[in-house]
Amino acid sequence: MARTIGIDLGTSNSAAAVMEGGRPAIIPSAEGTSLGGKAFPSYVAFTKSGELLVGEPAKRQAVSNPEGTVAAIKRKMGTDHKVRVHGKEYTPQQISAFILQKIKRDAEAYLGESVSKVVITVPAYFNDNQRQATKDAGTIAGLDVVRIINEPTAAALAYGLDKSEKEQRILVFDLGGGTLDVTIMEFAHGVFEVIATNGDTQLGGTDMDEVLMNSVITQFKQETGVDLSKDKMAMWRVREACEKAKIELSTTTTTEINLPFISADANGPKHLSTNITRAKLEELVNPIIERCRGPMQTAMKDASLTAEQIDAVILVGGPTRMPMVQRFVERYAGKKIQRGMDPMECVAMGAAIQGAVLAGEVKDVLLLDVTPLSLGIETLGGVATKLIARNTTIPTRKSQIFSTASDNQPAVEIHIVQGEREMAPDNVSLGRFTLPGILPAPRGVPQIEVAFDIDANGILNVNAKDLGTGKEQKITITASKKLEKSEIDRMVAEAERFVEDDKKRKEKVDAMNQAETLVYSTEKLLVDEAEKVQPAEREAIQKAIAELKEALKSNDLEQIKAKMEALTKETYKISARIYAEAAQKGQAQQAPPDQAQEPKSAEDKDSYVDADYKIVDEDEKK
Amino acid sequence: MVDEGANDSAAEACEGKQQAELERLEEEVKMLRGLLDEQTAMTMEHLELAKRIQADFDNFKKRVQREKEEVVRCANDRLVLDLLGTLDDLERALSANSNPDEIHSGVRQIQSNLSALLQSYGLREMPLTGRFDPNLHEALCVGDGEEGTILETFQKGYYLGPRVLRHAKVMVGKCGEEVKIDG
Repeated sequence: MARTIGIDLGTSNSAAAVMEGGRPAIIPSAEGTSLGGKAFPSYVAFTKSGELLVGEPAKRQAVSNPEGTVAAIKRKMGTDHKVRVHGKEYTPQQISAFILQKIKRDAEAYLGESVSKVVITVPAYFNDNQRQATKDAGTIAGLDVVRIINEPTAAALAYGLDKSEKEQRILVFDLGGGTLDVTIMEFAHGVFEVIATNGDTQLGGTDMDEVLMNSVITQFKQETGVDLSKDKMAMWRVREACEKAKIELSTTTTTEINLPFISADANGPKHLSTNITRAKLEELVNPIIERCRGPMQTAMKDASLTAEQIDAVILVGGPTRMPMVQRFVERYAGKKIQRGMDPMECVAMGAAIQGAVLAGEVKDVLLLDVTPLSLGIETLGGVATKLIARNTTIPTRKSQIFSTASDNQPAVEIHIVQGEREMAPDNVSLGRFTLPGILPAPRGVPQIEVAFDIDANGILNVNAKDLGTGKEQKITITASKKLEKSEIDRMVAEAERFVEDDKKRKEKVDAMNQAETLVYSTEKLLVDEAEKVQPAEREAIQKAIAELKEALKSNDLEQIKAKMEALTKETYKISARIYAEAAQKGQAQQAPPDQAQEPKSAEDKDSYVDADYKIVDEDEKK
Repeated sequence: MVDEGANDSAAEACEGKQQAELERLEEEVKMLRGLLDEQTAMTMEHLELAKRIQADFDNFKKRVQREKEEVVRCANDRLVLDLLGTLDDLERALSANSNPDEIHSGVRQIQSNLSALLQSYGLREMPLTGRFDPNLHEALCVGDGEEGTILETFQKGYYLGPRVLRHAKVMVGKCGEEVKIDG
């Protein structure tokens, strides 16, 4: 069946997406990805030799061919405006059609099948004329426009807000390269209705690059007396570095702009080197963000809504990645920003979802959830061992083999925990049960298979089975224990905050577990190989064991590590001697090959058992 | 009498027939109910299976994505390791106490080593002159000169294997044009 493509036909950038395996995916532009992501600039150009260029190549030649280059044609959609290029006239629909044709070509190359059905997004404020013009552009491009939808609606679909049972009010803040659109929508009974829109058609991320650039150039002039604005090469390097710095400052609080040999005067070469903090950038762009205040206030007033009445906030466009922009929006609508999607891709993705719904491709039954937090069990020393990682799509099943922690342990307790922290007590306890009736055996020998199974409704079944006896126990944890989204966010954030602490604690528990295992296996060695161990060696080992046990009581990680090493050293002395003696004996006796193989294979078997035991134990401690 | 008897037996026969029919229908309903239950159970089973496969596919995609990131990281490891040699050389150049000319020739050597290293990874330089091609070059400005030719390269362009890694930033010739700054 032919697939329906979703298209975000933007003023400065355009993107397309398609449903793949039930999820929307951006169709990469044939020219490859740029700094701006998978979208491409909405540029169309006609070269003097009559060649038609769309996207990146068109933008790259714009300076040398301004009369043949068309940008931001979206602003003219639905008007009588005509573009005159090299003596030929084009309507805005025809120019847009060239962009759509490129998308069609890229999509066909990507999918390996022909594409004709599309959903195209338009701003919520577009009137009938503008919508019709957009549809006509599709027709000219040889596409069947199955629906025109509002950009904010597409963004809401991408975030799955249409899945909500209850009515909600959604604020969509779309700050692109050169335009701001604020839309307030109401969602009820499966329908999105726009209740207010406002914006500014000359406001966006490019203004931000500009102020940062000016600041850097002014500072350089003050320091060196050299005016870079006269030097086009230097200007271009500064522009590129500023764009990069702006993007970096969304995730870090400080960054460096380093441009060696940027210029030269009579005294020799000049290098530009400056630190930019996020605070400095925010101070610079503040006047630009302040310009968003008017449209925001007007939209809220037109909708007669207060911040408390907004249920969800969606951010669209690259500049909304800036923490300062997010804080600005939160001041008006509260901390309700939806996360998890690329703000530059969500409109195209929402259009693709709409396309698939219209084509009957998306059936509700197969829209699956993910586990918001990791699920696992508590193991030796209070470690939380994860079986199902967070963000795993459900239904799913995972199992792992665990073992006992002490000799002749009659039962194991399965304590199910949910969360991202390394230690079980820091996570949420979902339930616990005991699997009794384990046959007397040394630690690490019994094999207990623990299986987690979450069904599509989020109901978790945990089953523990003693693989030796076949005995089983299980528990069912229903979805009623599901956490609120805010609670999940809090837990994830907390895990990030404590990541170093938790690692240290886990390291300590791991060392202690290792030490206990070492004590156990060494004591076992003394019993099993009693006749081969000399009295002096036995004494040394027993002393080392006693010291390690003492260190374990002291709870000091460095002590434990040191004593473990000491004990290992003593043990190695014996094993080295025993092996050396065995080798000597073998040589002296000139044993026939099959006899010589006998002890070796027994040894193999021993080490095999040992390795097996270790694996089980490792699992237990992981 | 005969009639009556005949009627009676006829009625009885009729009743018996109806009874048999009823039993047969009840049997059939039971059978169909059983079949329906079976089919419903099967449908549910298939639905569950479809969901499981869809979830497995999703988780598979996530795993592939993680593995891809891991592969990229490993590939970077190799390149970064190779680049450390250049970093060492630059540090040596900075700590050297020789005259500027010698340092200059040392830096030139470092540059040629780095260039050779990157070439071994498939890097190729674009020519500095020729016709302007928006697929290879980006026009930063125009200058007085032959229409459509590259007058000056501000930043060299490179191919990596068959792809353009970086477009050359150039000044393009335009008849009767004063030098104009981008933007």
